[in-house]
Amino acid sequence: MAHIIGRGGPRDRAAIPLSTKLGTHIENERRRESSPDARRASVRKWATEFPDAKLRSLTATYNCFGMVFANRRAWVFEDQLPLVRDEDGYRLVATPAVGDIVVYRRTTDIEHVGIAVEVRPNVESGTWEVIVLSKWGVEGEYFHRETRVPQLFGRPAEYWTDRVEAP
Amino acid sequence: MTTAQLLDHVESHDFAASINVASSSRSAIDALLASPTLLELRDALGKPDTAYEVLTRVFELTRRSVDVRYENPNDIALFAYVFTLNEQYPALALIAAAAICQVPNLWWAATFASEIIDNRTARNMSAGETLSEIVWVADVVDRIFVADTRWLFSPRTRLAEFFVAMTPEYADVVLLDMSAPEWRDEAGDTGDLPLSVS
Repeated sequence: MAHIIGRGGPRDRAAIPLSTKLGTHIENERRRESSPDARRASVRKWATEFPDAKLRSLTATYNCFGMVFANRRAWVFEDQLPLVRDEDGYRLVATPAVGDIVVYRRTTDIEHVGIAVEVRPNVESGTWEVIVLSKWGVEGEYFHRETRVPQLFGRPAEYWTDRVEAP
Repeated sequence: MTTAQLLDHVESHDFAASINVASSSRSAIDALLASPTLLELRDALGKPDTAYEVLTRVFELTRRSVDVRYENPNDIALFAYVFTLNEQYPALALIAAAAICQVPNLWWAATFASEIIDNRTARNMSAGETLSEIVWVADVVDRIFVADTRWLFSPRTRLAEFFVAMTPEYADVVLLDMSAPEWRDEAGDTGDLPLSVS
């Protein structure tokens, strides 16, 4: 986003004050709402393509990064993720627990993130079945199985947690 | 599918939703590149007449009144148009980008248009003297000003004149042939296309 001078920075009036645990500003922008027509069309399209995904909410004002790292308050730019991961103290885990972050990649870059809301063992396959809540770009916020996402997101590649164990 | 049907599809909510799942500009471009609609649009732009039609459509969409409470519903269509124009007709893409920059409440289209203009400005700045006529930079180099091409290029005569300049056999008619010594001397190796319309 560097080609728009100061976009999402602390002096951008479209941005909100948002920072990591260490106090560094996270570049963000409040995006406008989509028109009612666009939102109706969105519901129709994704209900057809992913009938098993359950819509939780539908607003264009934040993205998946904004849902997870900004409490649904703003659109967070993708180049802020390394900063957030490092300064908010996330670490990788092999198996997610409820509340952990599911990170999707197609190649090396992060395409999408969501929050694990249900994790249950699949005894037959010896794996975990993870239900994720994630925001699909401008489109809706959906509960879905972790692999049931638009192709653009790629596949769940890793899990991040900021859990602190009890002493 | 006729060109009109293709452009209607590009401007549909359904097409917009397929691109709007992206959360980053890189993903939005990937979504666009993966779309069969974009491939059709790219093929159609092989005909110069269609390029003219697309640029005209950009002007129509950028002049259209929209509900200011919401994001501009033509965001994805404008993004697709300026993206494909930029692949094959960078000079037309710059004009389209300048028009897009005047429109509020855009997102992907504005992001990509500003990138086109920023790149052009950077190339011009490196060349020293050759700022294009629709993009210029203030002394402090922290603000970029863009002419409103929606009016500059709006009459068909202007567009037609510009279009003629894109066709080599007619280029000498308007003295905008890229190989013209005057232009070469000015533009150097900046990659700029002749944009001035007499």
